[in-house]
Amino acid sequence: MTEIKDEEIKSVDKDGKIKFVEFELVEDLQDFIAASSDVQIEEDLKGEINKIILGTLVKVEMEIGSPTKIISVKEVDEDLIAREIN
Amino acid sequence: MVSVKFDYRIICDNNFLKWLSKYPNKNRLISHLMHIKISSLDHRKEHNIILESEAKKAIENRIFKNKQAIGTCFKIIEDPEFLNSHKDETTKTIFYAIFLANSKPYRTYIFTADDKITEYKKNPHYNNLKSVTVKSGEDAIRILESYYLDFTREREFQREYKKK
Repeated sequence: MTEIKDEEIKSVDKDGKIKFVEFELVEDLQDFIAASSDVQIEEDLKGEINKIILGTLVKVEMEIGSPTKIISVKEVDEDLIAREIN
Repeated sequence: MVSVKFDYRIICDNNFLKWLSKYPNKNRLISHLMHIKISSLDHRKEHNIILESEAKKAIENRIFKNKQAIGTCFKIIEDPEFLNSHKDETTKTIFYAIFLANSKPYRTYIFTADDKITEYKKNPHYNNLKSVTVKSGEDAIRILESYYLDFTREREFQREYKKK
């Protein structure tokens, strides 16, 4: 029987930081960045996120340690689905 | 913010995932499911549900590679204790669909495979239910296309509204 690996949406790296992958609409991410006191994000990345139009589904990679850091954001299309979900 | 009022919540079983994995245009349907899951007015990021017991079967049978892949389309819910006395997977899904229909939008679709429809309809707990409807194949596709259209309409409306 295949062992089920508990690879949920998080993994733990060697420094003990937890990585999350989240899929959400860009406006939810923008709200989170605006409202959270603990989020860390590069200004360039923040600028890119603010250019993504309302209602776009994005894949967000985050690192939870202290603080929560947004590592990357990618717009989801069928190519990304084919590469990363199937 | 794009938020859509869908008239049914969605729960699926591992048979639906098996069918989905073999569907020729599966990436399109996965995309629809992702948009529906995360844009729901009533259950943002959790509109589509699968029981953990069903998700595990899909992974054991290599239908989806891991929980993360399934989790993009369906929120994985740990089987609640009240289902423990039911061993039959169809009964478990029906009962959980009824449980989901206790909250907005008060109706649930069960998505399964074509060859499982009769099993659901013959289940005594499905009998006379009005708030839960089982769907498969082309019917499920029609629902997903319709819900995705609802999403795109609301998205376009919000984008136009934001310009003003």
